[in-house]
Amino acid sequence: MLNINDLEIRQKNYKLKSYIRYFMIFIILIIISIFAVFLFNYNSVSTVDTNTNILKNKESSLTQDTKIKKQETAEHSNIIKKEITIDKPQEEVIITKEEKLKLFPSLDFIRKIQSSTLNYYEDNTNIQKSVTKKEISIEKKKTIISEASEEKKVVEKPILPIETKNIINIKRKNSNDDIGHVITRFKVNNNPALSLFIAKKYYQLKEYENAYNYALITNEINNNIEASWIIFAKSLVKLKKKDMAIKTLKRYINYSHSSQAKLLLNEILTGKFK
Amino acid sequence: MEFNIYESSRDVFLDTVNTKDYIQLDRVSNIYQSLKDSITKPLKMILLYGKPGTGKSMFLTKLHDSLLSSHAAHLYSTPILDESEFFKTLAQDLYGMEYSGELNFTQFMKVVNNKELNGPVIPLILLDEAQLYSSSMMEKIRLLSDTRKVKFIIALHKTEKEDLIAKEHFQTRIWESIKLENASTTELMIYIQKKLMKANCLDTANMFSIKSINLIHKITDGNYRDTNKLMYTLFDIYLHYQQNNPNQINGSQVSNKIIEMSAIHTGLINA
Ligand SMILES: Nc1ncnc2c1ncn2[C@@H]1O[C@H](COP(=O)(O)OP(=O)(O)O)[C@@H](O)[C@H]1O
Ligand SMILES: [Mg+2]
Repeated sequence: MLNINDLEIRQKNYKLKSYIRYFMIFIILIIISIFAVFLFNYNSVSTVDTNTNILKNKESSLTQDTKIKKQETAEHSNIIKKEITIDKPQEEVIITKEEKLKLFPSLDFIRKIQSSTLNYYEDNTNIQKSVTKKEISIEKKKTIISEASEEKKVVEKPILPIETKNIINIKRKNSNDDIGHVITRFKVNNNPALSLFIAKKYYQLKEYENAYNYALITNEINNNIEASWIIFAKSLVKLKKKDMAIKTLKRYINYSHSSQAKLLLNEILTGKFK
Repeated sequence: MEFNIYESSRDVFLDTVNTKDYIQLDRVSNIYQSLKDSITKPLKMILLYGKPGTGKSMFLTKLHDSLLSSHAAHLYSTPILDESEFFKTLAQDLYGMEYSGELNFTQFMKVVNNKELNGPVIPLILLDEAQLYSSSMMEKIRLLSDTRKVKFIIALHKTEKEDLIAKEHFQTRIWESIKLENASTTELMIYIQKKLMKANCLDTANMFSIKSINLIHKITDGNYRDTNKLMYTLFDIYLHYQQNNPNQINGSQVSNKIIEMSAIHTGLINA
């Protein structure tokens, strides 16, 4: 026999249950994603830490190579000056723009802060607090180590108009920020698309040695990515290794018949691309 | 008696197998045609299988009905489990012979071997629910088929036992095996609407949009028997509402709520 009332109630409960099920799934998804974001941030904090070390080492070795790089580091320092003025008013830093020489000893220290400022953009303050202590101790060591090479830089440094520098600085900040992010992600999943992105980004930033390295890494993971060969060859040209760039491109063209590679080779040979 | 749309619609879905209720469904008619064709081929046996509620009995009944005019065909809807009884019925149906005492397999084989066929057509025996016959009985049925004096069409549920029977006894004997499946959504739509229209319930047939059919298909998986149960209860609930609070129902579109209530009542949904 039909018991309509009972059926109505059971149907309502059934509907409610199915809504609750969807709701629960929704909640669980949210919890999982919050957790994932938290984990990701935590990881990036610790890895950026080590990253900064690597970056610093590279920087100090590169400084001897080209003037461009020196300009960059100068630019770096400029950003930091700005940031520090915002973060913690430090009188010494603000003092003057002309009297740069006075600031040089602290340059390296500042640069280190800069790399750690990468973190400030991404991280929760809670995590940041616990980490900063470590960073500071590491930074101190580094200032001692690299001070010697720093002095050379100081002497050679050209004095550039401040206004233009400022504009560039803003861009630079973001790109470095991006790269730091992407490098951590790349370390986790070894995705060649990421390393290729990093290579391209470094190339844009005129950091040709890094661009070269990441193009090479990309190529090791997957040697069929045309763009990695192109960046590789372009970086070689920029690093004044034109012959090697030509050789590499020819080899790749033989194997892939890539029209883009042919185009680039032609441009290099005719001197269009320098 | 007065015509009540919900009552008539409800009774459309009584779970009976009656050839006048047969609905022509594309897939089924294809199978039907190939089965009809295979009857005239020199095949010894035909196996028809599928899950309960996929329409095997309906199919067999329809086949039997349409064969009768041209063929000697006999349908055994429920298995005759007593061996002697089974052979006596066969003797009666095939040769019009009446036995008062026992008739065992050896005796019956003798009878069959001595009989000549009336013309080129082999008489047909349609066995429904054949999974209920014992293995030894199935073996005897197979031996009878080998005489080519009688042909069996066997319908059985797809159970483990059926698989066993198929493997052990029919591997080389069954020349044609046909599987019936649950309805697809489209087939279910046609099934429900045609069934209602046949009974002149056009208004209720129009209540089923593709959305409602999808929900019903989700609940019944397109099984005809489960669909019948669900639809019967559905219209029973409509009838109940009509008689008690008619403002609770909308006659133009079937309500998901009532579909779910029916599913709960018939146990197709656990709630
Ligand atoms: N083609 C069809 N037309 C009309 N009703 C059908 C059809 N196929 C199945 N049915 C209905 O579905 C129900 C189950 O079918 P049935 O033949 O008994 O399944 P099975 O024998 O496979 O268990 C029956 O009530 C039958 O009337
Ligand atoms: Mg049946």
